[in-house]
Amino acid sequence: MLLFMVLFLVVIIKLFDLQVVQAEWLQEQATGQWTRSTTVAADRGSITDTNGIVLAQSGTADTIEAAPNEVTDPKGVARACAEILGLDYDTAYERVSDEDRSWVTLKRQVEPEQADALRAYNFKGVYFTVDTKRYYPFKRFLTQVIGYTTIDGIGQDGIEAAYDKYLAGTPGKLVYEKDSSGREIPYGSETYIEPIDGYNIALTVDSVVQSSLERAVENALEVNGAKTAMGIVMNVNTGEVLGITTKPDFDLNDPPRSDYEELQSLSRNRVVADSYEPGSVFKIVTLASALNEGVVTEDSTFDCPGYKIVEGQRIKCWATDHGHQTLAEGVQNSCNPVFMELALRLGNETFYEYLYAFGFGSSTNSGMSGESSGILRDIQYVQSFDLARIGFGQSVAVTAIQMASAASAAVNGGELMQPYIVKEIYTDDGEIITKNEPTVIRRVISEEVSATVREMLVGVVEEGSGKNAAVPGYAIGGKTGTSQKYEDGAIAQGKYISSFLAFAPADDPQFLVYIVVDEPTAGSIYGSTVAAPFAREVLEDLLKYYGVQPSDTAAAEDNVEVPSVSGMSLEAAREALEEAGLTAAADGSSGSVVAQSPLAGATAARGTQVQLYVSEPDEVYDVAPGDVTVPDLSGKTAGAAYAALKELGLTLNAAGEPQGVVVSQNPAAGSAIAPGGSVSVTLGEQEQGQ
Amino acid sequence: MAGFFSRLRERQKKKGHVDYLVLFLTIGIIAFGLVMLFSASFYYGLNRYGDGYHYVKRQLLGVLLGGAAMFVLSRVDYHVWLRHWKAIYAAGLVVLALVWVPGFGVSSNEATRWVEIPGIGLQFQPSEVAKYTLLIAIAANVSNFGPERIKSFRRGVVPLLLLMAPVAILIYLQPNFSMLVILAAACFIMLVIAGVRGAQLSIMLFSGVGVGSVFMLLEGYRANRISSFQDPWSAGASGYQLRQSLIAFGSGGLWGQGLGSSRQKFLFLPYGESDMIFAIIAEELGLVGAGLLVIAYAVLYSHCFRIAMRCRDMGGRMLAAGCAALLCIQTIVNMCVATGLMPTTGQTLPFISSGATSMVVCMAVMGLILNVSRTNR
Repeated sequence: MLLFMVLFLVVIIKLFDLQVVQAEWLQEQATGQWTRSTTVAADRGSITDTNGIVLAQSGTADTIEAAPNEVTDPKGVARACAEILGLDYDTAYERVSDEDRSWVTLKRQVEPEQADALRAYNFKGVYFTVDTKRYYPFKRFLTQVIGYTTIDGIGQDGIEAAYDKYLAGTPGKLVYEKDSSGREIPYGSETYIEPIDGYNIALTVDSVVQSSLERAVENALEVNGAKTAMGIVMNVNTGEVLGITTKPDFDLNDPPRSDYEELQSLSRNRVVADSYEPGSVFKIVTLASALNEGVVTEDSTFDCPGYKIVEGQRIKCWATDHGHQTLAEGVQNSCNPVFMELALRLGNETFYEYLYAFGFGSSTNSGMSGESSGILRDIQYVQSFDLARIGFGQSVAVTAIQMASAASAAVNGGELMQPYIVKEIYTDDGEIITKNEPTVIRRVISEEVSATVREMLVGVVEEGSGKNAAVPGYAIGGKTGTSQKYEDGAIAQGKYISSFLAFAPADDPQFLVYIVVDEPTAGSIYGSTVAAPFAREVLEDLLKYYGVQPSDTAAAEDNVEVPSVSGMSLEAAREALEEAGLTAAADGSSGSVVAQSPLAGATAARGTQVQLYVSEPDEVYDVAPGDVTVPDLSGKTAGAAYAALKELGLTLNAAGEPQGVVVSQNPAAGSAIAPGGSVSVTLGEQEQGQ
Repeated sequence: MAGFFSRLRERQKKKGHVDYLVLFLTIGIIAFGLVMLFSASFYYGLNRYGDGYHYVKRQLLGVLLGGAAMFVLSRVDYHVWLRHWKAIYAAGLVVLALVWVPGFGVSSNEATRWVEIPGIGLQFQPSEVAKYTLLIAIAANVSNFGPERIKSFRRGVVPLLLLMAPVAILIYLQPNFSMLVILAAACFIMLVIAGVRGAQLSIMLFSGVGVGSVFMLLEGYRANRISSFQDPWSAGASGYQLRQSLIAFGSGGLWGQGLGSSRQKFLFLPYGESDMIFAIIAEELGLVGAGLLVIAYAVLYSHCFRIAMRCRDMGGRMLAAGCAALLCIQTIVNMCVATGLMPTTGQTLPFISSGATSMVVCMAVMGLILNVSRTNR
């Protein structure tokens, strides 16, 4: 009896030990056992152009999976997969009939149309799950700059990689109570930690400019049978990159992931990454430096016997001889001895000061990934003949963006601007996280000298080697460039880099176009024929787009102001333009106008054709065709709402009591919204009655 | 109501009444047990049978049958059982042997402890019944021997040991070692009460403990259980149940998570609805609730022992004491296992753990004790 009572007492003492003394420690052992958390993916931010046109956006896609044990018709499934998804029939058959595995993935990120086609078969054991996919509506557009993500949506290259921390956002969490086998407990409590969506990035690039540049550079590549070609358009006054491209490129929606070498090569943003000898385009720098330093004046004259001997080295001019010429003629002729003379007159120290001041020898920090610094030979080892060569763009390696940025400084009034491509980083609510403003790095030359440089470069287009870039009626400045390629330190015979740099309008430059063609093989090697005609294509488009008036005013008597037609339907836009005395051309047959050229407010000659860019629903902006209907979420917990929306490819944006239920939602139930869209809900106290 | 109580008082004068404290404490514990079982078993039932009420329904059936048995046994004079002890004892052996009859025995976990009555699908543990039939046989014999013969080892103790042996062997063969130990302990207490000489008791105690220890260590799984009980946190899978049980106690704390708010019952704690229900109770109601339950049991059993001691008839005293000891030991063992004071065994908590057979038997046994209480004046 007494023994039993003692034993009961022992039990109570042990209870005290467990429930009071050890309680805290024991509870710690249970941490993590009772709850389970799942990650709620944050929406990756979009990348847009300067006008908000979407260049990269996350949307939904389907992942197609199968449970081999449930598949009743493996042959049929394999055939359909081969037909619709482009899978290999044998591989697909092997996978769906592999009964050792309970779950196999057939294909990830399948386009909605393909998934629907497969869905129509109603195969047993084939499952469709929602996946996110990065969509690039313009496909082969700004390829190397935007870059791409891994299949899991992590930035891998370009802006996608460099700004991944901004774009990615912070994943949220859904914590719910589970039983020991991991299933959610009915009526268990759950906590929803909202994901923070990634920020959006607006680039300085203008899609209209970019389209024009892409087309021209693609043409330059094709026509010249070149290895690569690149181009950049900059606003000379602000340093904004308006367009930038490297060809060949690829459709960002389908990077050639299987061939690593090829992908690396095609992803290289050569405009910032490749260093090359710029050739005569570099003479702009020499000219500006020499004029600014006063070692030469507009009245100086030179003699060209077809070569110049520097420290015993005979350095050839590109032509047999230019004879006696003024400085302006020397520029037009692109006469090498003239620029050797200028460089030598400046001397090592001074010329190098200018080179550094123009931004050579260091990365421009434009914000694009993989930027190189170019190569400036160490000043200690620069001999006179080296300096002379640098004068006309040899023995120096630059990147295209350095060249464009330096040339901008030479013609914009003398200030080196910080080149940049990211305009701003902002949230979905429009809150601006970072905004880049035009930044003056330094004044390099005086305004007067800059004006002289402009004038002389106009001469190149009007009278000299740049005639091919001339746009009738407009004053355009420019400079050609042709240089031999070096491979493994030696001149590579027959391999050239040909380029053309132009700016307009010449008296008050707004933009600069620089096109570089690497290894043209179709005959000509000179920048004047290889690159200039394509620069012209861009110039023409840009002059029109920005509504620049021809300086030759004879043609411009009857001018009208271009109305704004952005956002209008194509028909309405046509009417509005006709009313204003203009005509319209569109790049599509339906949809609404997203951009126009010339821009609204520009002056254009009566009868001018205004180019309209329309959104084509299935091609450009609407990433997944077909809207979805927003379900009724009221009374649901955050987790249930999240799941319901995920089914439809929508995302949840919750606020309020994390443990509450949905009391209001926006958009309302029943409204149509594009897949990938987000539904905002407010969570609150459950109304009575459960 | 008043009429009911006055009639009870009337009867008290004539035949003697049942011990109300024991009666109402038993009913109280059973009622409490049903509530806790509902809370503890809902998710297990939902999970295994798709019916959260599965265990509660069966338990209610057990309470109804057990209530009837308790009522009948409290009114049938226990001397009837003592007189027919031979038949009862034989029936117990037969039932135990059924385990080995093909078509009846049900094996699980390498032990054959259950019998299924073909056709009905009713399962029960024969040892649950047989241990009480043995007690009846011992009580009847001690009563018949009288106070002198029991002092003789050869004529008093040996016949009792011979009665125990077949039951013990059959239970050992199942095997159900923990049941055997509990039964042996209860029998030992009966021998003490019967008035067996102290020297003989000591010898039996030491040899019993010695033999028991040897058997225990002979089987690997028992030794294993002991090591995992000593340090469940580093015992891997074999320590899982105890770890989960301790977590339940710990998270209950002083005041508990609240009725119905156990987390461990979501399949974390194996047998949370049966052997380990004490842990779920402690988790939901805390030290306060679990402690009160322990006190309730302690009061209940001490009163049962008091009933036994007050009984002037040796047979009644032996019967009540044996039954009380058996229930009491089972209760203590269950609690010690749940709290990690003892290695894991499969003993249920009387009146609370799920199990209809156990409920019927325990209530019937309470009926016996109550019947004994009526003879006390």
